[in-house]
Amino acid sequence: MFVSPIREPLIQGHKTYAQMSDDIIGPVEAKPTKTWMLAVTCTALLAITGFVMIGLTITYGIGLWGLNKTIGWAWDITNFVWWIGIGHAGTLISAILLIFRQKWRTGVNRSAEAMTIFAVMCAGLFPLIHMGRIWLAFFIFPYPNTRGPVWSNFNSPLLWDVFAISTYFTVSLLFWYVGLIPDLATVRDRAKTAFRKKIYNVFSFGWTGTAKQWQRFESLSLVLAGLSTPLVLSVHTIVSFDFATSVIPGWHTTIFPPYFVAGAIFSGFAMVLTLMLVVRKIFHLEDYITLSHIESMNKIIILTGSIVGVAYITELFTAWYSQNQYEQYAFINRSMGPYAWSYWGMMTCNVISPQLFWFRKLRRSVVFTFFMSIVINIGMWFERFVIIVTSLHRDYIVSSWSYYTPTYVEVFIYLGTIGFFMTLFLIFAKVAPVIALAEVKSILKSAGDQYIGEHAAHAHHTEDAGHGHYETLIKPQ
Amino acid sequence: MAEKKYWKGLEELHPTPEFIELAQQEFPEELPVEVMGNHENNGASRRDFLKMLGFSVTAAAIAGCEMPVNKVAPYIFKPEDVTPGIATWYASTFMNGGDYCSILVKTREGRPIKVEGNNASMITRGGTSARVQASVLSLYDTNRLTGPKVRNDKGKHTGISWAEVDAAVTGKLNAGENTAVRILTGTVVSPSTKRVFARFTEQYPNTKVYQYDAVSYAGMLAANETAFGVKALPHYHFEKARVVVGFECDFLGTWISPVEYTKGYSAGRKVGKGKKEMSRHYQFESRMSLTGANADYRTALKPSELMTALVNLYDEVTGASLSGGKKIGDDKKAKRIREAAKWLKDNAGSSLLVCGLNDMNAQLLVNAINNALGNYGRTLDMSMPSMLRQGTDNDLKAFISDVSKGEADVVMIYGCNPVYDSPLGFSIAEALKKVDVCVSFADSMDETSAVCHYICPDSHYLESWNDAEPVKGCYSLAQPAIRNLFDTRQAQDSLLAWCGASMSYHDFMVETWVNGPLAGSANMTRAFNQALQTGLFQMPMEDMGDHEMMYDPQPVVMNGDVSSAAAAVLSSGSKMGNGLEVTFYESVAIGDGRYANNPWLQEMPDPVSKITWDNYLNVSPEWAEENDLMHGDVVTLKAAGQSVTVPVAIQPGQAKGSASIALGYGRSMIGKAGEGVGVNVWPMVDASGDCLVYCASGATVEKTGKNIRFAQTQTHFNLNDGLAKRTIVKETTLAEYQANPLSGNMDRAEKLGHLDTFYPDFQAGRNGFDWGMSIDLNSCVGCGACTIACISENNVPIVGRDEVLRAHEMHWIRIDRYYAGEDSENPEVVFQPMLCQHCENAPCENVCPVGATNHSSEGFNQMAYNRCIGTRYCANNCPYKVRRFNWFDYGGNDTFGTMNDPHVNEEMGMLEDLTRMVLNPDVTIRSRGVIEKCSFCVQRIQEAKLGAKKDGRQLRDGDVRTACQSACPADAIVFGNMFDETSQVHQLNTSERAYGVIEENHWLPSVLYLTKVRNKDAADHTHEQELDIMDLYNYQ
Repeated sequence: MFVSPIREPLIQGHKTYAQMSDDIIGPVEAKPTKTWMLAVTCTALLAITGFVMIGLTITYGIGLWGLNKTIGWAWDITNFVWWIGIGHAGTLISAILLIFRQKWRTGVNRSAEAMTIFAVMCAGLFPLIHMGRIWLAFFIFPYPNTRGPVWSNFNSPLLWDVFAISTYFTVSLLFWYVGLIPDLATVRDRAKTAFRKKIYNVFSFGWTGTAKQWQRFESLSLVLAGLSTPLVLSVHTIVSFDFATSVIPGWHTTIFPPYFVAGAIFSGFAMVLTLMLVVRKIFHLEDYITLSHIESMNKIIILTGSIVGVAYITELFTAWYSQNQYEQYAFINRSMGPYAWSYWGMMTCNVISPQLFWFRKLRRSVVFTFFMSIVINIGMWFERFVIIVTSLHRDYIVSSWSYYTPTYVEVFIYLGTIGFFMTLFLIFAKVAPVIALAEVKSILKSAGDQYIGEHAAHAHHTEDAGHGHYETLIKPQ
Repeated sequence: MAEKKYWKGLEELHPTPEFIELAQQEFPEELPVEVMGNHENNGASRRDFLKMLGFSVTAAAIAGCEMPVNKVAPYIFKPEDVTPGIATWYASTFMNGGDYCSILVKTREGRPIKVEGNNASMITRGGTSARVQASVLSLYDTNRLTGPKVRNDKGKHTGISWAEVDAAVTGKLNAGENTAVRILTGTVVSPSTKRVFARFTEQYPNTKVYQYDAVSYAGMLAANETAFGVKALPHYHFEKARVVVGFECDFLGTWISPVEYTKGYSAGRKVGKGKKEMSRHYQFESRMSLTGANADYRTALKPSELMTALVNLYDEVTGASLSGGKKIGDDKKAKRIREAAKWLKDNAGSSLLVCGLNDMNAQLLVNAINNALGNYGRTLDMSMPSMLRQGTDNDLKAFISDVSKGEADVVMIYGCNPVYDSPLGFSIAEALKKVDVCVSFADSMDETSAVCHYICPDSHYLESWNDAEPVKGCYSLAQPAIRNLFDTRQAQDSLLAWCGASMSYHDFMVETWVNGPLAGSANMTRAFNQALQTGLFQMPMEDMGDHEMMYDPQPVVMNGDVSSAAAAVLSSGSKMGNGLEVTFYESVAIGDGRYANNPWLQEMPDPVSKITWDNYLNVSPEWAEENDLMHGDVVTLKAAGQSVTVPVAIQPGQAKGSASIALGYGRSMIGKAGEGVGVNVWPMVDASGDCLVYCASGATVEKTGKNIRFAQTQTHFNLNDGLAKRTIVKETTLAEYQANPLSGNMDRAEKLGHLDTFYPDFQAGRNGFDWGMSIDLNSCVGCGACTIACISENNVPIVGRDEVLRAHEMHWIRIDRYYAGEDSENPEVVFQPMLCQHCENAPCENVCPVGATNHSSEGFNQMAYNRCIGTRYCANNCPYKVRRFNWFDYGGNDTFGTMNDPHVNEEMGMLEDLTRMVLNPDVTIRSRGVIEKCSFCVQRIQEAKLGAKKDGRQLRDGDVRTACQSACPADAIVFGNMFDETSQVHQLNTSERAYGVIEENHWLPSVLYLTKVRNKDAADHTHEQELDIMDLYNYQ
């Protein structure tokens, strides 16, 4: 297949397959470093603190949070939507980019998918613990019972959430794990001890890498990608229904589904960048996660960031155009009311700052990208906070207007989920290859820098270009 | 002959001790189970151990699975009037100080749980107040004394028996020849109690009874004595007044008999089919009172200006010139006085001037004005005077001087707390030290009983026999609704016992009635039982003396030197006009302090400021700005030589240059709920003259630099822009209403016209009932009785100050208060009771994931608490914000036990066995983590349905009355079946004034409001034709 000369190599350093295995599986085999131990200890402590706070909440009641008669949701659902949004990048990369045959996704999809799983775990925690009576959470499932029977209320978007998120989690987990199997098998094959071999053998389901297995692997991947693709759009659409189907000015907005999906991808890519830039540095994977990868992701950030920006402005326009006083006030209050700081924080972080990525130099700057990824994560958290809290705190009946400030319990639950997420990610990075080795190997000959780009040996380039067509069917090594 | 004996072995024939032991055992071998306990044998095998372990673990686990079992003891002989599940009602009378209300007491299984108004009463006519509604909780106050107490040498009170108390007190009473007994009481409305005092005086001739009222009406009593020779208060008929002018008089909130006056006032203000007239109300006052908030024209005047204004009004009405050219403030204020005078004159004979100043001269002027207008015998009446306040400040002073001279041997204190609730409290405490025997009848330890030698706790009024004569010739009876909970005794019984009368107070009271009101009845037993059953007795007309005067249009003869009174009023006015003038008032909930330990009342938002659990210094917005004060700034207030540290509340409507602060707070000895709430400003009241003056001039305010947040249920926000055209409150003026009954509500047709829907009619397939409610904004005065009634009926938890601060209050019905208009000194005020609107298209229902809140087939929105998992989605999606979440285990019924939850205050009442007795068994206590809200008193609907079914008839309009409805003294709330076209609620909800709050969004609320009609000239109405620019002031 012809490769355009402007395509940059996605694997640098003239890697051979063996080198790639060493580079990517090396960290898994090495003894845990002191840095890793320290990091895991810190994040685990943070996670434990969070779980203690959850325990307190369940013991004493939601009154430990800063919510009140007017504001029934705040940090809890903000965090829920934020984590769900973060998860979206993983699915997008593994499903949609797979279908679009974006080779660059191979460098980042493994971590992104892991991030999805962990983020959905954190997200799922919040709808559970925000319940006043978590011990009766099973009421939401439509199970046969002797009470009538009493069913769940299928009109409630919160119920849709339950199905959307559980489906999402299941499919994402499958997708991620299926992708891991060949790599786990590689780890097993390289293992020096019997114990290690045994463990990885179990987890790789005895993968031997026969042609038949590869064929099934590829088909399953495509099926799961097909299943996941609508999920990328549907999960956050349904999450947005929690708000869009309500009657609260600022929530009751038809633009929410696309706006939420774009926002989710936006924040998800930011989080992928945050994680990948760290992983890349620590595990010395600069050859596999190249500047070109980073630039591609930054381009998606500009796109989704701009969609989000347009959505914000459309909301303002709609409020003005509707001539509905409640709707108008909701937006005036957002931008000029007591929570204006969060609105302008959101605007700055999400709309203005991503536009800096129009500059190629900034797109390709690791330091700047890392900084921006944090800014966007903050901005997207603010977005959900703005939607939830500023809409609720001043709605229809003026007498009930109120103000919300979080308590330490809520803050530590949030930080706890970050700790939980990081702990899981660190453990994952230690026990499994953070880069989809098999997939990266599959693109070596079409995207390795010895084959394309300015440093490529010309002969190889032309020769391998013709083989590119079969890349996914070639068994590496 | 000896019986033939068979034996199995030699052991049996010649038994050894071992054999006997063995034979007596059931089993020949020792059981391994028993061995376990027998450590001497040490024979426990591993298997036994495991058996025991298994058994005990299983037993413990089984026991652990079960909910704790509480013992229930059924009646062996069922009492005739106690049927479990069926309420028994007793007619009775609420009396506390001068507060009076004729009531019905609802008892369930022998426990009083709810108080309702008695419709048969001529005085209160079925109305109640928050204080009356909350009185049932005070029966179960954990702070009540459980028996008589004596003070020991160390000043501590210890328990003692009644016999010992009786011996000690009678011993002292009979010790000398002429024992001097001094009895200090609050106003005694009960004729029998007065007879008890008389009987006591017969026995101990050197007895003197002093009466005083903490919030004193001595000035009025003195003025009436001067003018008419009757030392009593007039009986007012607000319903007959076409014009009401109030001078610093909170007659809807606290003045004399607010329930009665609210009934009359709101009757005169109702408009509707066939009644297109309403009274006009002018109010001149320094602080924003509940009454001022309801006035058509309210003018804020400083206390000093009020004095001048009163003389000006006299001049305007009578054409005299006693003011001597002295006019109040600016022209706008003077204009209001002229207008008020004009309206009074134009409606002479059907107008009414009332004045709340405790100043004899001012009251004399008021009498003169009412007399000049010919109002006596029409809108107010001295021939059948009110007996609700009889105390004078001079009585208290005489008592003090008597006692401090050492002239008293025995002092008895009944129905009052002078050490706390008087500016002379300190000297009273000092004086009491000189008395040998000092007896208090207080039902709980208070500031006064703490310095008394004996405390002989009076029974609660719901445990007592009593009678009352609130208005001359109108009697009512109080009967016990429960036996004494504790070892208490009615004060009257104690007095009768001490004076050797060998009869109970009940018999004594019957005797009073037989010889008094009922004298001449053919069948005495029947007459008394009838009175007891209705709780009332009305004297026949001919027995009321010169009662016909009520129908006599001629002015009554009035004595008194009006011109010197006017001069005195002017001079006291100019004396006051010095620096910051601070007035002291009683709050609607707490009164003079006697209700301070009632958490229901402490948590009731002040009708105007909406602040709970505190008192505060009200200052005007302008004055605050000039003095650089913010809402909640803590200041040191110095007045009358005293100083207190108190937070400032910025209150629109407070006259500039004046401030006000509520009495009754800062109790030092009262109980868990009330102790240390607010500050005590009683010492600042001026006691130098004949009458207490509830005003201190020349006060100073110094910032302390601290700022606190008030536990305020509603805060101020600025909606000062065109965006505020929200369909919340609708208003019009009387003239516009008369021209077009739709005025103020013209936009409704257009707004509702847009509502097309694809869905079938919400009422389709429904028959029988469609419950609805109508709330008349024109009648509602904002008093808050409904809030407390709802708490009482529906077991609504009280959460305490800290939780209210976090906006966690649980009230199912609240009263929203909005200010309107440009003038921050005299804003227009609207009160709007807000409760679950029971939308037919309820936004809360479709979002609940488990269907815990759903729609009933009778048109209301219902909650299945057991199904609720607490997502709070419904509360978020409720446009009216009426849903309440149980943030903590307020009810004390957690699945996991309360675990000494530090977040739930025990004193709030739901956690103690005693206070839990007040709970309504028909209403579930909600657990932690569930949402609750107004249920339209579904338990009452059910009860009424069952009653109708039992009677074999259809449910009639009026059979179901919600708690808020029956509590309302203004009849603002009407509930009923909307399908019944003859029902009152159907008539009202289909009338021109009916509208729903934010109904343009098609939630189809079942609660509709009737527009507020102000009797104002259109030019003075600050709103545009279609109104609703809510111009609220922003202080946050």
